[in-house]
Amino acid sequence: MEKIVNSSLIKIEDLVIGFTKETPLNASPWNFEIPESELVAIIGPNGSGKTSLLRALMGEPTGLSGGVFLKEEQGPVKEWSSQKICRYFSYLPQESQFDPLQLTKHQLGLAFLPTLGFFRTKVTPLERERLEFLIKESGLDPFLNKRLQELSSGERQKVFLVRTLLQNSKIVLLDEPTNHLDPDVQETIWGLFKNEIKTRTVVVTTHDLAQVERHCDRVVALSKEGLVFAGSVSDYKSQGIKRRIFPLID
Amino acid sequence: MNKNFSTFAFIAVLILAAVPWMGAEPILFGDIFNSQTLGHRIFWELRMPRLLMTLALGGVLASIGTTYQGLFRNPLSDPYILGISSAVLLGVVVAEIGFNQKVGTPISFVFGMLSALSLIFILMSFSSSLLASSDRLILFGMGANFILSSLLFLLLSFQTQSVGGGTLKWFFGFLPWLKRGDALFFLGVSLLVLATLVIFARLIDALRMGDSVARTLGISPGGTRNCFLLLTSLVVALTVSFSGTIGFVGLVVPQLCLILFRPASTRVLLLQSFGLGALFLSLADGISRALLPPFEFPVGVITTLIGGPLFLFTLWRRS
Amino acid sequence: MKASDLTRSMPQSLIGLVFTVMPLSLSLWALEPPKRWVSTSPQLTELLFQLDLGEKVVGTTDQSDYPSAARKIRRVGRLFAPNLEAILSCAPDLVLWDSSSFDPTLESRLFSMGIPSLKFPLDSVESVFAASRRLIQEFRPGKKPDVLIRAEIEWDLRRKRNFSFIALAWADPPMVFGKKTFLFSLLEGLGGNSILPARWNTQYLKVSEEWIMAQNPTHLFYLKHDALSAFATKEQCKKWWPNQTVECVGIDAEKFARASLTPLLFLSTLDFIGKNKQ
Repeated sequence: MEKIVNSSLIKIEDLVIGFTKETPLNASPWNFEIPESELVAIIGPNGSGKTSLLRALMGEPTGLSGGVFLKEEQGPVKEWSSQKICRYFSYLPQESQFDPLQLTKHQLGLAFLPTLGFFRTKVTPLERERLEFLIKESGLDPFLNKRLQELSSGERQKVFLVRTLLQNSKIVLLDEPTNHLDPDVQETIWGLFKNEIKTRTVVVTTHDLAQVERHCDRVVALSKEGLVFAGSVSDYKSQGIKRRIFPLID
Repeated sequence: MNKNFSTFAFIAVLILAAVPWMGAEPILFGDIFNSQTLGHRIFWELRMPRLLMTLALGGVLASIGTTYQGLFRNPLSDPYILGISSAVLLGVVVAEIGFNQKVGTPISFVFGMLSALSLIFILMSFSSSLLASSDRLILFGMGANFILSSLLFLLLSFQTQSVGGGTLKWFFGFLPWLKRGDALFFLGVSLLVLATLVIFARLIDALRMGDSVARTLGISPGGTRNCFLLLTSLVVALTVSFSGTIGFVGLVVPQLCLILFRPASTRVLLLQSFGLGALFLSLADGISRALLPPFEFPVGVITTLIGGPLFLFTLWRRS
Repeated sequence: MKASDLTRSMPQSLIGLVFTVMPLSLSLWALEPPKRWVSTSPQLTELLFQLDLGEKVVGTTDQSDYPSAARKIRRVGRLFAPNLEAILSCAPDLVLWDSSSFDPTLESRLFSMGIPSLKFPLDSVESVFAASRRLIQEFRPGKKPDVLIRAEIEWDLRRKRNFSFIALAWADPPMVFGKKTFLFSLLEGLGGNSILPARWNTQYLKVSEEWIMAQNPTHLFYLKHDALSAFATKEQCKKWWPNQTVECVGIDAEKFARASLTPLLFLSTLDFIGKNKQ
C-alpha cells in the first residue's frame, strides 16, 4: 500500500485505537510509517478516529493495543516517561483548556518550560529569534500583554498554535489547527507549517482538503470502516482516495 | 497598580498594629513595656503568638486555596474540598466517643492525623490511576467528603452532651492560644509551604492546559498532582487538627486578589493570596475576641460572616 | 462507685493529679497553699462554698448562682466556655475543672504559664463525696465542715426503697438522665432500679416515645421548673401510660439539679418515694 522508507521516523505497528477495549474504532490493526521532515495530514469524516489516532501517536490511552515506535528509541511511546515525550512531541488539542486570566505572553512562555525550568525567564538568542519570528508571522504582537479572555477565539487559537510550534520537539501534532481562523490567516499558517518541516515533522488533522493537496507530503485517510490509505500525496491524488472517503465532493 | 498597592500596604500595617490590642481584657499602652503588669503578659505571651499564628494560618490556607483553584480549574475550590477536614474531624470524634479522649489530647490528634493520612493515600492512589484527571479528582474528593461527613453526623447525632464543649466548636473553627515558640514554628512551616508552592507555580500553569499538553511539556500529570496533593493535604490536616475548619479564607481570598490586584501570574497570585489571607484571618480573629467579651466567637463564624458577602461581591465583579 | 467509673475517669484525673497536684503539693503547697482559685463550673463553685472554701474563689463562669455569695464573684466566661484572658486577669494560682467543663488545651496553656489545675469528676454522688474529701484533706485538714458531715450522715442513713424509674431531663423531645449524671446516681443510691439497658452509657439520652411507652417503671421523675412545664409533663405521662401504673413525680430542680452537696441535704423530701411499695 505504501512505500517503506528506510529512514522512517515514526512506525505504527498493529495499532488499534478507541476509548475502551470493548469499543475499538478499528477492527483490524493498522500498520504504516511516517518519515522525517514531512507534513502529514490525517483526514476523514467526523468520528473516524482522527483525534484518537493523533493522540495515540504520542502514547495516550486511546492507543488500545499495538504500539507507536520512534526511530532509535526503545519501547512504544505509550510507555515513555513525560521527560522523553516532551523531547519528541508537542500537541495542540482541538479545544484548548486554559486559564482565562492568563496573560498571552505567559501562555507562550509555557512552551519554554522544559528548558527554562521553574525560575529562569531568559531564553537563548536562538529561541528569542524564533519567538519573534512566529509572533510576527501570526500577528500576535498587539495581544502579548492581554489576558486570554480578552481575545477572540481565533486570536486565542493563534496563541495556542504558536505555543505549540515554539516547543522544541521533533514532532508537532496539531488537531484541527486552522479551526477558528479566517481564510487568509489559514494561508499564512500553512506557510508556517511548510517552514517548520525543514527541521521537524508536522502531523495535522484537518478538514481542509484543498490545503492538503497543495501543501502536504503524506496523507493518512480514515473512514468509518477504518484506515483507507496511508501514503504519499501523489499516490493519494492518483488513486482518487478523496472520492472514496467523501463521495459527495467533486 | 502601584497606587493600589500602597493603599493596601497602608491598610495592612493598620490592621497588624490594631489586632494585638483587641481582646477580652483591656490593656494600657504602657503595659507592654512594663513586665510586671498583667497587660504585659497578655500582650506578649498570648496575643502576639496568636497574631503570628493567624498570619501563618490565614496565609497558608489562602495559598492552598489558590493552588487548588489552579489545579482543579475551579474557582469554588477551597482547602477542604477534598474532604481532609471531614477525615480529621471523624478521627477526633471517634477518639472522643470511643476512647473518651477530649479534643486537644495527643491521642485525639493522632486519630485525626491517621484518618487524614488514610484519605490522602486513597486520593493519591486514585490520582495515579489512568482514570484520573483534575476534574475527576475533585469530584472524587467531594464524594469522599460527603461520605465522611455523613459518618461524622451519624456519630455526632447520638452524642448530644459532650459535643457542645469539645468537637462541635471545631466545625466553626477556633484558634488555640499557642506559646511563642510554637507560633514561630507555625509561621516557619507556613512560609516554607508558601516557598514550595511559589517555586513550583509554573507546574500549576502547565497542568491547567490539560494532561496531554502537560506531558508534552515534560510534566508527569499524575505524579505532579500527587506531589501537590500530598504537601497541601498534609498541611490542611495539620491546620484542622489545631483549629478545626475555618471557612472562606481559602475560597474568597484568591478571588479577591484576582479582582483587586490583577496579578500577572500564578506565582504572584500565590504571594498575594498569602499576604491577604494572613491579614484577613488576623483581623477576623481580632474581631472574634473583641466583639462580645469575655465570650470568644469561633473565628470560623467571623470569617464566614465577612467572607460570605465578600464572595458574592467577587462573583459580581468577575462577570 | 463502680469499677468502670474509676477506670473511665482515671486516666484524665490521674494525669491531672500526677502532673499538677503531687509535685506541687509536695513542694509549693506545703509552704504556700493557693489562695486565689478560679472555678470553671457552677456546681464546683457551689461545692467549694459548702466546704467553706468559697472565699478562695476569685473567678467563676456564668450561671454560678448558688449560693448567693457566688453571684458577686467575677465572671470569667460563659457556661463551660471560660476565657483565658479573663482567667488570667483574676491572677489565680489554681484553676479547678469538672468533667463537663474540662478543656485540655486550655489547661495545658495555663500550666505552661505557671498556673496548675485540679480536675474533679462530679458525675455521681460518690464522686462528689470523693471530691469533697480530697479538697478538705488538701486545704482544710481536720476541719470538716458541718454541711459535709450532715450530707454524709443523710446519705449513709438513707432508706433504701424498692422502685424502678426513668428520670426525664426534658419531656419534648424526651431526653433521659443517663448513667453518668448526678441525679441518676442519686436515684440509684436510693434503691432505684434504672431500667436503662446496660450498654447505654451516655450522659443524656434522646429516646423515642415508643420506648418510653413500652417501659413499665414504678416512677417517672421529671425536673419541676415551673407550674406550666410540670403540668405539660404530667399530661405527657398520662399519654404514655393511660392506665396510671406509673407514678409521675416532679423533683424540685432548684434543690436537685445540681451536682453538689445540696441535693443530699434535701434527701428527706424524697421520703415519699416508694412509700406504698416497701
